[in-house]
Amino acid sequence: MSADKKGKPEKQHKDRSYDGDAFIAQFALRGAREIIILDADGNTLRSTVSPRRTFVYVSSLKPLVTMARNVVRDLNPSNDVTFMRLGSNGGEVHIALGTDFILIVIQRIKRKSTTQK
Amino acid sequence: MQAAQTEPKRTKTYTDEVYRLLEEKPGVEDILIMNCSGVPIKTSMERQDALQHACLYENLREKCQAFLSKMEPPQLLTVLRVRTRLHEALLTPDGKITVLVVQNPKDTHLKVQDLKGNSLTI
Repeated sequence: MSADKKGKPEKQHKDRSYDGDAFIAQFALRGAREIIILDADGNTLRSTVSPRRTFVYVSSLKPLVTMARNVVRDLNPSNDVTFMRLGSNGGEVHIALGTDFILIVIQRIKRKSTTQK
Repeated sequence: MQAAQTEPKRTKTYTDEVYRLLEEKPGVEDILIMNCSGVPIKTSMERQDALQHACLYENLREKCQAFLSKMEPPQLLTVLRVRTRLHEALLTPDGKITVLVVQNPKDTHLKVQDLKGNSLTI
């Protein structure tokens, strides 16, 4: 199941429709199960989490991205954000900002005692 | 019992030591150390720039912390990294101080992706 990066062509369920996707599987090697792809305006294009949860994430992360952009531009008008990484004890959130899209990857560090999604 | 992990002593000597160690690292452009209320206490930048950086990044850090607290389970921010085209800013909350470092990153991963022939960007 190589060719297509984005997995199945038709999407009936957003959740779990990417289990066979090699691209997603590579992320999952490092514990990153939650991947959200947005276009430049913030509309969700693809997501591996349920729509409700995606909405919750995006609604808090999109303003964060905008804010970071403003911060960086304030300090140096020719500068622009390309990547943001929020690290914590339990996991990390990586946000990549391309010219046409925004990619969000949420990664969990698995501990032996508890298994998290 | 000592809660040594959460609130260790952050004395002046500690901040001086941190500053010195950071200065020696390659690629570091600017260092800014703030106290618990976000006021810069030791910096290599101009006064004006330092205040501006501190203010803006503290704001951003609070928003990030708010986001992480909303997730399940609620977590504390350990590091905030903002990579821009020209440089990279790392903000590390650390007990009673916050360390902000502006450095020149080296994007080695970009080369790797070209070699692999993948069209995965960024």
